[in-house]
Amino acid sequence: MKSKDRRTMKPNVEIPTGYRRRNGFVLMTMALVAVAMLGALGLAVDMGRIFIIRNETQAFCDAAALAAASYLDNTSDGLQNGDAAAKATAVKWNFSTTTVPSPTVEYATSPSGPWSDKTNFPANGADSGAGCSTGKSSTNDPACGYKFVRVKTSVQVPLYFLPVVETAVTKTYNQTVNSQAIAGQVDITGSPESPYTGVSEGCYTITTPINAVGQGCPNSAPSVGPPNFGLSIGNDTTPCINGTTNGNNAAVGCYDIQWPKFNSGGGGNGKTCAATQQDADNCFLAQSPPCANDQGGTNAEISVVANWGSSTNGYWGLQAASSISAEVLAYVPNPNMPVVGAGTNIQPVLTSGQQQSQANTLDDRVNQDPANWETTYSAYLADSTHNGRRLMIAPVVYPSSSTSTVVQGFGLYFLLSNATAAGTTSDYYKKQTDGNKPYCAMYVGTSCVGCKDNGVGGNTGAAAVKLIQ
Amino acid sequence: MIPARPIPERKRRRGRTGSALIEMAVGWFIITTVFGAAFEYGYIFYQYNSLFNAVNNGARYASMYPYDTNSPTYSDNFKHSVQDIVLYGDPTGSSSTLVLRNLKTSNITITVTGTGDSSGTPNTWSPTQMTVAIATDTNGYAIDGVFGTFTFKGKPTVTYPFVGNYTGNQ
Repeated sequence: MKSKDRRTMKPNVEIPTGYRRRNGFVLMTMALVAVAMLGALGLAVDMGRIFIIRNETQAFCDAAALAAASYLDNTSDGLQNGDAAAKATAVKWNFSTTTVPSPTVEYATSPSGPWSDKTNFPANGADSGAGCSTGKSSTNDPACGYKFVRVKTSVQVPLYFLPVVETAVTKTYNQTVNSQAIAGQVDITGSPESPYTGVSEGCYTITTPINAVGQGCPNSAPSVGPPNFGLSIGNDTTPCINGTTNGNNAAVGCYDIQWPKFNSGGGGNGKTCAATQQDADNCFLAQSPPCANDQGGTNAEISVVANWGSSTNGYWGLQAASSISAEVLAYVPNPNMPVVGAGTNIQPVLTSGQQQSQANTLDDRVNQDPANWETTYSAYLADSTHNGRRLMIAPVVYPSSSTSTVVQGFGLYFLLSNATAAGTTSDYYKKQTDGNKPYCAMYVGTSCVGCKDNGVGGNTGAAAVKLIQ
Repeated sequence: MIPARPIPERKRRRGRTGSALIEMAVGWFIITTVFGAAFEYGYIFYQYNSLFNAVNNGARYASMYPYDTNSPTYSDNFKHSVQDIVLYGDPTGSSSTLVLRNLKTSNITITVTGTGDSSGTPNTWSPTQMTVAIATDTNGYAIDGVFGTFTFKGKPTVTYPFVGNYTGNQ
């Protein structure tokens, strides 16, 4: 057993020649431990910051992509606006203190690309490329069909500890953090937006869009599909309200958004019709106007009369007038209303209702829009005060028999107004209905939840702005 | 030149024994400090990352959730749904497990930005952006570390464009 020092109780060790080497041992150990410690500190601090910053820049890209996608509408101007919206995104990085550098914003017709930036789509760009027909642009535009956005950004994160333990000759003092998001207007197949329904101009089944004949459609029905289902987009030069024409007028893009009750009542409406012709349903009897200053029904609507039962008004889901009115004014879909999907036969849920009591409600909705006085859709869109309340999404249906009324897709309808100047109110629907006539609105193309206006359009006539990646 | 007087062996051994102890003490102090700092910062950053994700989820949810009033003053239904997403990651509030310890509804601010006049007749307001953030006042969120408390006020803040279902915006 070795002897011990009496004071320290440590074993006495022979060190006469060894202690000189032990002088550096603690130093070396400390140096090695220091490197390990700095590595641990680097992982904790530098890597921790990188993870946080990566999440922050990802949130920026997500928000920017959604903002840009909401502006896409088949026009170069919409694309330019989307670019500006993406770059104005407010999310910051570095613990919410630093503005994210200007991102790269690119566009494509497919989520897999190829991607093009905005320089390929100059504002007020020359009309070229494939035809693109939306409510906003009746001309061809190079931005036609572009409904996906990719936003990429990159920030340099300064490193404080990791460079110390880095063994590379050229040390890295900044770590590049890249983030990317893709958003777009994705087709939706169901919507409970409005209790009204529009009638398509032909038969289309979602499973057989080309050859509809023999798929439950009348042989006489033309096969028309999305995005417009045979409907003509509102004609701005001849708006629905021209003093003489009210109600259905397909020639200028005006359609009923509610079916008239199929009965023998009616009358009035300021039309110069004989008493026996003063029923709105008369509009559905022939292509030629049944009375002066009126328009004849379209093929589809004539078919409606032939196939339609006598107990429905074209509402679906709800029956009480108060419920239907609440739905018209609702800011969100009524949870009690079933979601109607493309391809659904809504005949069993169609209801009758009190139309006249809803006239004020429709006018109220129109008057909630500062641009309630604009008479054409293009003027409405150009009016920076418009907020969309005059636009209503409705299922577009085709009644092929008394028991089959299949939802073809969805359309966006522009509610009508007789206001003459900003600040004045409209009572168009209150004046223009007598309780049994259909409500009329201008079809203005596809609808898009989350978009500023029509959006790009898709296979169901309705889309929603969503993140894809 | 006077040659240096050699230090006696006994004196040298006594001094070396003490320096080892001091080195040990200094070394342990440094090690403890650095590892403590690493743990503290690592923990704080981890908690902040979780806080950011919670706030981000809340803002994203608010941007999609049907907005059911025609003014920046949101409904209780909207508020509770967004708050529950931040607190529990679940909009129904059926969960009682907080994503972060001591996170409370008072820590969360929800700001709805819109366009138009919400006080006019008729009302012409519609929502455009949803911002969810940690409160800037005394209700900032405090993360308790081992060596101290870090209080975050006004951060994180996340804003998304409103792309949800608002009948007035379609």
